[in-house]
Amino acid sequence: MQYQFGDLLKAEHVLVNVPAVNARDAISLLSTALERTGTVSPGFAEDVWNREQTFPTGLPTQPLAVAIPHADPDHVNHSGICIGALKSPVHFVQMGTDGSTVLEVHVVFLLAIKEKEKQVEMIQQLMRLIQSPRLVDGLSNSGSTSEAVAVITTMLT
Amino acid sequence: MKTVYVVCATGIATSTMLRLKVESFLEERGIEARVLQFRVTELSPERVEADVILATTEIPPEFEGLATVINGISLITGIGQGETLESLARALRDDS
Repeated sequence: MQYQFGDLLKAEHVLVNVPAVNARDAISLLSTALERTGTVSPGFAEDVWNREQTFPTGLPTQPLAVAIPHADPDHVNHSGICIGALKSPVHFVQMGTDGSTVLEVHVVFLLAIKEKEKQVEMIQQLMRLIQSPRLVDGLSNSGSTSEAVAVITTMLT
Repeated sequence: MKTVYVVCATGIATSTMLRLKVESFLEERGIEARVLQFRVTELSPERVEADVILATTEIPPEFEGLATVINGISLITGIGQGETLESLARALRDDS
């Protein structure tokens, strides 16, 4: 199980101290990072936010909650993930609930998925990251992108 | 053969996670079952051929009684996933 960091993520897609004020803002700030590298087109953030309101993506991971917003591939040019450790937590509704369960989310994994069949490995790695309590903790405490990249690399090897 | 539907909102991200977890669990336990992946809007109560519906989205109440509906969020977070997999195994063992 030796994964290279680059299989999953680009350093340009790892953000720390993201100054998001709410879930929509977090999605928008992370989408901008994916837009800059041509991973998604303008319109992606709106797709994701629209979907988030109908099908929320907050996950009650421990010790800190995360969210995995995503959308249909319409505005996705190629697959990628943007990870953002937020400066202060924002509210996301818990996945599979009607809006009554709200989570304080510390880390957001914004997923851009082009073709599902080819993304199994990426999704598998993402699942390992989400389920690693030390990752979310480590990311929340990272002061720089290079620190955050180091934390993720440790988790994947 | 028993059938498990793994279901999420877009049929891409979390249903793939469910499928990966379920397939390796079934293999580990030697349980034979088909695992089919859907987005929730593709499901219709008239065409359910599943013994278990494992989902990360809310499943409308009309599906209850047609299949055992199990919440799959724990398989995504890893918190409490053992219990969820045991209920899946039980539902697939039942001679119904």
